[in-house]
Amino acid sequence: MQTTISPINSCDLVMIEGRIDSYTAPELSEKLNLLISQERYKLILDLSNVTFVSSAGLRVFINIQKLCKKKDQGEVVLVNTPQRVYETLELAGFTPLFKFYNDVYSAIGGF
Amino acid sequence: MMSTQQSADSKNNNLEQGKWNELEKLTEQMLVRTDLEGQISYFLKTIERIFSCSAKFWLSDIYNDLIKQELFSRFNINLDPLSELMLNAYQTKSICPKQISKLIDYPSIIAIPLVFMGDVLGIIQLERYNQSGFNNQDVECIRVYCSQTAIVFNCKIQTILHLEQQHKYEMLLIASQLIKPIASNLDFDNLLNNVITSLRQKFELFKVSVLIFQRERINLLTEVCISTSGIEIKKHIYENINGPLSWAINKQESVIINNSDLDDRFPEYTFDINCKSELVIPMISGNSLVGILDLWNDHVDTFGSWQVEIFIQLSDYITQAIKNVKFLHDEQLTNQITERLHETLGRVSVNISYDDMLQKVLFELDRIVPGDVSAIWINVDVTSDRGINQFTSSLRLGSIRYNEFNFLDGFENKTRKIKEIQEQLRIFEEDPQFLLTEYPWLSAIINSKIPIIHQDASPFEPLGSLIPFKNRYSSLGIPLILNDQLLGVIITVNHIPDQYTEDTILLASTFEKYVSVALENNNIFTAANNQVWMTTVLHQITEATQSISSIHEFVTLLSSMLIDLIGVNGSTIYIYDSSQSVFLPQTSAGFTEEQQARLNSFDVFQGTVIAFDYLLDSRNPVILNDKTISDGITSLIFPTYDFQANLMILFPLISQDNFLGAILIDFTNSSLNKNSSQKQWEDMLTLIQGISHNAASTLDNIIKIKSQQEEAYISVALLQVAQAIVSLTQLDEILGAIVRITPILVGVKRCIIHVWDKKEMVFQPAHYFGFSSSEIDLEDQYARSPEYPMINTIFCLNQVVYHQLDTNSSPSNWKNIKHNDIQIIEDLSKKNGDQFSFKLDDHILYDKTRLLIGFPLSVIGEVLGVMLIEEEEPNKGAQSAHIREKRIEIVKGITQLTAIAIKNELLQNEAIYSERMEQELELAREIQRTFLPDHLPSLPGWDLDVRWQPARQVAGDFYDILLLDENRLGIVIADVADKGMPAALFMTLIRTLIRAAAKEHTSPAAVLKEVNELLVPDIKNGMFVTVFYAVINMESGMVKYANAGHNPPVIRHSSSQTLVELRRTSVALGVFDDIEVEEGEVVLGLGDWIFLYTDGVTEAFSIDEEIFGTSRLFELLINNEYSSSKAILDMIDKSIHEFIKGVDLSDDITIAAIINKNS
Repeated sequence: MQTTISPINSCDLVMIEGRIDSYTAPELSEKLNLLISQERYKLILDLSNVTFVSSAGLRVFINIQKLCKKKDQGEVVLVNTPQRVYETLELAGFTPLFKFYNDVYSAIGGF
Repeated sequence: MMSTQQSADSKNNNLEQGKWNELEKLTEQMLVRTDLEGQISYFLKTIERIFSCSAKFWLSDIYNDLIKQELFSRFNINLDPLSELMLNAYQTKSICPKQISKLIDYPSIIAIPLVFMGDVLGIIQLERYNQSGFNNQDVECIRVYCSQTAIVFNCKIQTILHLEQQHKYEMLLIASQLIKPIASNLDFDNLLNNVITSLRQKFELFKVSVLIFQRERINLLTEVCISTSGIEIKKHIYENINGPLSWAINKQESVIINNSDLDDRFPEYTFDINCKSELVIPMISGNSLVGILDLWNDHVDTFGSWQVEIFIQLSDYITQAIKNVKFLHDEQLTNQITERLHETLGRVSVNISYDDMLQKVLFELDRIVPGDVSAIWINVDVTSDRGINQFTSSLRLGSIRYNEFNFLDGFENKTRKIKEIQEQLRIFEEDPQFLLTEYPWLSAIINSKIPIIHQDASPFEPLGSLIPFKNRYSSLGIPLILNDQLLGVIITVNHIPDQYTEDTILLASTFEKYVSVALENNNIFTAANNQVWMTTVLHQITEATQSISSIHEFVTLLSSMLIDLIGVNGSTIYIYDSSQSVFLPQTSAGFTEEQQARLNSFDVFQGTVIAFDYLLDSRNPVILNDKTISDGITSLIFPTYDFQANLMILFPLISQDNFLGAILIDFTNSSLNKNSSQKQWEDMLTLIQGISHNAASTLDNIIKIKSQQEEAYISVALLQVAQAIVSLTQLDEILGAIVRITPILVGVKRCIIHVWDKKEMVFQPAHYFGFSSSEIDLEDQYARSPEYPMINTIFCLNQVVYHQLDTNSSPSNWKNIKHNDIQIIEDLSKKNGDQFSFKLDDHILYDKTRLLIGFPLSVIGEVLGVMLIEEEEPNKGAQSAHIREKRIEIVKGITQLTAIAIKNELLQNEAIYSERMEQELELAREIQRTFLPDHLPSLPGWDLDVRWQPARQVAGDFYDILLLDENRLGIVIADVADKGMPAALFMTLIRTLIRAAAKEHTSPAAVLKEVNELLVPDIKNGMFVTVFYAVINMESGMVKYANAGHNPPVIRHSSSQTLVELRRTSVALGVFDDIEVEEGEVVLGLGDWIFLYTDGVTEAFSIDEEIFGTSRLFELLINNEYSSSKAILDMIDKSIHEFIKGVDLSDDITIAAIINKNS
C-alpha cells in the first residue's frame, strides 16, 4: 500500500494505492493520525487505486471519521470508491457514515 | 394474413411489455409512500387500473394481530372479508383461479396470496367479469407484482412495530418521572394544577381536565382543566353531564375514543369541536368514585393500548394523592365542628374518657331527676355469632350509678349488692336479644322515642326488679335518640313511688337531647381523632417510602412502620412470583427471631396454604380465622395458634390489576380484636388497605425500574471487569479491583481470590472483600495449609462448586467444610455439549440457604487460582432463583477474565521479551480455542457441522452454539475486527454478552441490539464486530435471525435452484449507538440447508493476489448436491486450500452448515 498526501485549501487529499489489510492498516492509521495531530480534519481519501479493504481497513476509516467529526466541520469523505470497496463498506453497514464523491473537486466543494 | 397475425402479436407483446414496465415502476412508487394505508390503497388501485378489474384485499390475521386492531383502524383501510377462494389461496399459498363461465377461456376471478418468507401476509382477489378473464401472462405479471408487494408490506409492518416499541419505552420513562411529584403533593389546588399541567406537557395533549366530586352534594363536580386557553375551573351538575364522561361515571370504566367522528356510541354534540380523540378514566379508590380524568387531543388516534395502560396507572396515583389530600381536608373540617361543640356543650363534653363521661351523664341526670340507682346502656355494634367481622347492634351496660341510700335495709353491704346487680345485668349481654326479651320495658322505652314513666301495669324493668324493692317505686326510662339513631337507654329508679311526673318527662327530654348530642359528639370526636391518626399514618408511610429505590429497603421500612405507627404485633411482606406461583417472603418484623427465621424461609407455594390461594383469587383481605385455610402459616408463628385469642389478616398488594404480593399482619394483642366494633374494623381495614394500595404502587414502580436496570446489569458487570483488566497493568491492582467490583455488581457479601504460586507451591496472599483483618489472616494461613477441602476440590476438579452455609457461619469455618458437603454445580457443557450454562438443581435454586460458591480461575484447563463468593443474607435483597442463576453466570464470566489476566502476568514474568510476543499470541489463540464449543451437540433431525481455522496471528472469528430449550437452537457466527490478545479478550466478552442477552430475549434482533448498546460506550479505536445470530426452531424449521453487518449466510432450499442470502438487518455492532436491528425469518424445510462463513473465506488470496470472492463460493454451493453438512464444509475447505496453495492464511476461516433432516 502506498499513500500520497497533498493539501488542497483547507482539505487534504490522501491518495491510497493497493491493499488495506491487517498488515497495511496500521501504517495508514499512523499516517492519518499524524495529519489529525497537525489539526488537519478535512480529509479526502481517494480510493481509486485501492484493490481491497479488509475489516482492519474499515476500522481505520471508522476511527479516523470519528476523530475528525469531533472537530468543527471536520470530516472524512471518500472519492472514486471502487465497487468492491463500496460493497465491503455496505456489507457491514458503514456507508451512512461517509459521503461518497465521484471526483476530487466535488469533494472539495462539499466542504 | 401472416403479417396481421404477427402485428397483433407484437401489439400484444407491446401491451404486455407496457404492463411489465408499469408494474416495475410501481414497486418503487409504493416504497415512496410512507404509510401502510397509502401503500395498500395504492397497490389496489394500481392493480385495478392496469388489469381493468376490481380488487379485494384481506390482511392475514397474524399480521392484523401483530399491528393490533386499534393501530390498524387508524389507517382507515376497508379490509374485505375472506372469501372461499381467498381461503383456498391462503391455505395452499398459491394462486387460485375460478372460472365462472365455460364461454370464457380464462378464469374471471383469481385469488393471489402475498407471501413473505413462507408466511401469508394477505390475499388479494381480482375479478374481471366483462372481459375474457385473466390470461396466463396476466397471472404471471400479477404474481410477480404481488410477491414484490409482500416484501414492501412486510418491511412497512416491521417498521411500524419497531416504532411502537420505541414509543412504549418513552412513555414509561415519562410516566415514572411524573409519579414522584404527584405522590408527594399535599396541597389540593397545587396538586391538581401540577397534575394537569405536567400531563398535558409531557404527553402533548390538547386538553387535560380532572373532575372531582364535591363532598357535600354528590351530584356536583368541580372541573379543573388546562387547554390552550390556560387553566380554568368550572362547576358541573352531574345530571347535565353526558357523553363519554357520563358513561365513565355510570359504568365506572374507561372510555377510549380514537376518532370521535367514527365513534357511534356517543352523539356528535357531546364532543368539543376540537376533540378528535378522548380518553376518560374514572378515578376509583376502594369502591368510591373520586372523580374523572378526562384527556383529549385535536387529532385522532392518540390513545393506543399502551398509552391507555400508562394513563390508567397514572390516574391511580393521582386518585390516591387526591384521596390523601381530601382526607386531610375533611378531617380539618370535622375538627372545627368538634371544637365548636366542645365549647357550647360545656361540662359534659370536655375532653374526658368515655367511662368518665357516662358517669358524668348519670351524675347530671341525678341533679335534674333525682333517683337512687340509675344506669345507662349504650347501643353498640358487636361481633355476631356469624363470625369475625360480622356485626349486630345490641345494648351494652355502659355505666351504673347509685346514691348513698338507706332504702336497702337488710343488706349488709350495699356496694356488694350493686356489684351483683351489675354482674347480673352483664349476663344478659351475652345474647343481645336476651336483655330485651327478659326486660320488655326496655323495648317499650326504645319504641316510645321519648322518656316514659314506668306504670304499675308495665312489664319488668331491670333495675327495680334486681334490687329488689319491697314496695312500689318510681322508674323513668329515657331513650337516647339522635337523627333517628338509637344511641342508648337510661333508666333511673327511685324508691319513692309516683316520684316522676309529666314535668319530669319534659326535663328528661331536654336532658336527653343534651346527652345525645354529647354522646354523638364524643363519637365524632373519637372518629375525628382516628382520622387524623389515619391520615398521618398514610402520609408518613408515603413520605418515607417515596424516595426508596430498592425493594428490600422498602419492605423493611414498611413492615417496621406498620408496627410503630399502627401498633400491630408483627408483619411479613411477600412478593408474588407468578412464574413459579409462589409467595416469597421478603422481610418480617415484630416477631421473635425464631418466628421470623421460620417465616422468612417458608416460601408459600400455590396450594400449600389455602388462605393465600383465597387471597390470590378474591384479591381481598383474608382473615385467618379457620384452621383449614391458615394451617401451615399460623403454626409457623404460633405453634399453638388460638383462633379465639390470635388474629391474623392477609392483605393483597395489587397495583394496576397486577398482583404483586401480600402483607401478612398479626393483630394479636393489638387494638383490633374479635370484639372490636364495626367502626374499628372498618377503620383499620380501610387504613391498611390504603397503605397496601400505596405500597403496591411504590413497589410496582420499583420493580419496573429494577427490571430495566437488571437488563443492563450483566453486561455492565463484565465490561467493568474487562476495563479494569485493560486499564490496569499490575496484576495486584487488577485482582484488587475485581474483588472490589464483584460484590457491588452481583451483590455478594464476601469475595476472595487465591492465586496459586506455581514456583513456591503455595497460595499467594489473597485479594479479598468483606473480611476483617483477623479473618483474612486466618484465611491466608488456612489457604497455605494442605487441608482446605473447599479450595482443594475446586483446584482438583476445575469445576464450580457450592456449599450451603449455616446461618451463623463465618469465614473461619470455611476450612472445616467437609468434602461431603461440597456439591458440584452441574456444567451442562460437559453433559450435553451445548456449552450454554450452568445448572443448579431446582431445589438449590429456590432454597433460601446462603451459598458459598467456589470458581476455578483456569485457562486452557490449567487452574491458576480460585475465587470464592459468599452470598448475602437471604433477607437482604430479594433472593430469587432468577438472580442466583444470573449471578453465577456473571461471576463465571468474571473468573474467565480474571484467569486470563493472571495467565498474562505469568507469561510476562516467565518469558524474555522475544518469546513473550509469541507466547502472548499463543495464549490469545488458546483463549479463542477454549471459548469455542469443544464438541457439537447432537441434534435429532438436524445435521450440523462447523470448522474453524485460525490464522497464524489470531484474528477475531468465533462461533457459538446455544441450546436455548428443547426446540430452539441458537447459532452465532461473528468476527471481531482486531488481532491478537485484544481480539481474544473482546471475543470472550462479546460471547458472554450474547449468551446473557439470549437468556433475556427470545428475539435475535433484540439480542444484538442489547449487545450493541452495551458495547458502544466501551469500544475504542473504531473497533467493531460483525455478528450473525439465528434461532432455529428445530420442530418447525422456522429460522429467525438478525445480521449485524456479517457476511450473509446462504440458504439453499431443496426445491430451488437458487441461493438465498440472509442479508444485513443491522449495521455491525460497536460503532453507532441506538441502532435499528431488524429481524428476518426463513423456513428450512426438509433437505434445506444454511451455510455460514466469515470474511476469511471470501477474502482468501491466491499466490497471484486473486481474491476467492463470493461468486466462486456461490458456484461451489449451487453446482453440487450435498447430502451432509460435512460434505459442504469438506468441499469449501478443499477449494479454498487449493486456491491459496501454500499462502499463509491472512485471516481466520470459520465455516458452518446445518441441514434440516427432520422428516
